[in-house]
Amino acid sequence: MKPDANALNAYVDGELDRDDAAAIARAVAGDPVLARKVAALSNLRSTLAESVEIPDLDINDLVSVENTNVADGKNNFINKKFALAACLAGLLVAGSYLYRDLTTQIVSDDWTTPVLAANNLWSLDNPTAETASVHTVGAVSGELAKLVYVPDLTSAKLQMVYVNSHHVTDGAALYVAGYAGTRGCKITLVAQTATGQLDGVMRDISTQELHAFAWNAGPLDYVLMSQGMESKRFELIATTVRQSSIDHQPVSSETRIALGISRETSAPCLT
Amino acid sequence: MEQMSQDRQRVVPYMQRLYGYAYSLCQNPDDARDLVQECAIKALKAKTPPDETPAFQAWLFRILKNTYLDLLRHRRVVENWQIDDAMFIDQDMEFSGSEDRLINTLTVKISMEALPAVHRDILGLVDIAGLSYGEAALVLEIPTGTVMSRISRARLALLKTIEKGNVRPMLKAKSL
Repeated sequence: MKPDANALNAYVDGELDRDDAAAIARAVAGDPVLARKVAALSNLRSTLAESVEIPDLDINDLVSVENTNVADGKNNFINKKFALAACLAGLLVAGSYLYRDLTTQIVSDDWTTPVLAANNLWSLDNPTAETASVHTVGAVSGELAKLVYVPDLTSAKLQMVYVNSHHVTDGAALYVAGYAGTRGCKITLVAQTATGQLDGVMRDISTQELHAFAWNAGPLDYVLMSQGMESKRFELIATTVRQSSIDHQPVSSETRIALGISRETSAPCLT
Repeated sequence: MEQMSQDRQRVVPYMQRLYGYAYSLCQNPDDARDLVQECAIKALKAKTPPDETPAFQAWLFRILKNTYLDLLRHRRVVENWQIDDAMFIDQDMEFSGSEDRLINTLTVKISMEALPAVHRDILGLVDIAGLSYGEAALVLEIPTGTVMSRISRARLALLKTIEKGNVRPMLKAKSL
């Protein structure tokens, strides 16, 4: 028996009656190729279910009594949230100085040079192309990818367009994610196994060409870098990414609004 | 007030699934939250919501989808919602063997963004919002068999998009 694609999907979804499901189960047991298809579908289904970060939604926050009585239901709720988010944006950036070390170049050049070069691994014009300006000599362990927390920055109008891993000549294994904005903005996030050179403090490791922050989050060192983005906006994004990398939690709704406000009130990125 | 409180309590159990579906459609957390808010407002303002639970659920999801389509029109965004179920030819799911290594949350998220709206729609209902084929059929007002073929086609499209993506499988390190 060779089940068609519809039957396989229905089997994985538990939508078949007992007899049909039993028939497919017998077919799967006797055919490794079929078993692999079912495993891939099952994996896809469960990964899809986990792929969306569902926030806490309180209907009383979303819907006030006034909302249900007026034509435009957004007024009171959204206005209050924007005011709160504007305050939060200011607090986040100001508060970042509490755990941010203003001393530049506190980590060695041997550490920073290959990490910052990772920004050249992808380009805004063609993010799927491998520019490979950092020499890669081999492959990296999947363990690194499992530990990295790569946040969703769509609230800041930054879309993830590039993800890859590289093993560079000095032995470092880098996990690289690239985000692109709609106004020429480019952000690169790099993660590597902790080297002992960083702690939880967010350190400024900027160069003339790149604005960059680095920090440690447990087993990993992270670096976030940008080109041409306004400093305050990038600091807010870096603070947000740092917190997400520590908590492994999605960005809060107030922070998302703050990121959106920051983007709306900042200039396009210089390239 | 008591009636309004009861109406709200009726909507509450669906909030998270509605968000999941909204996110599948718009791929943006802020828009998704706004869509859920608008959906809840419209549902609570309706004079005669369906009484039966299956019909009420389908009605909520339809409100959300229509709100999303209104948003697209307002933003003058055109999406491909074309689907011809009669033209569907059963496709054998050819697998290259690397799917297991490539299927992780990150690759799935990136690939979903690249899918046409019509595929995100059915995947959003069944895989993310967790509706059964029958429940999805009620929302979309199509036969259950058509839901089966659409989900099959959407998952194949997603797998192919993942395969073509720029995320590479993690290989074991070679000794130098």
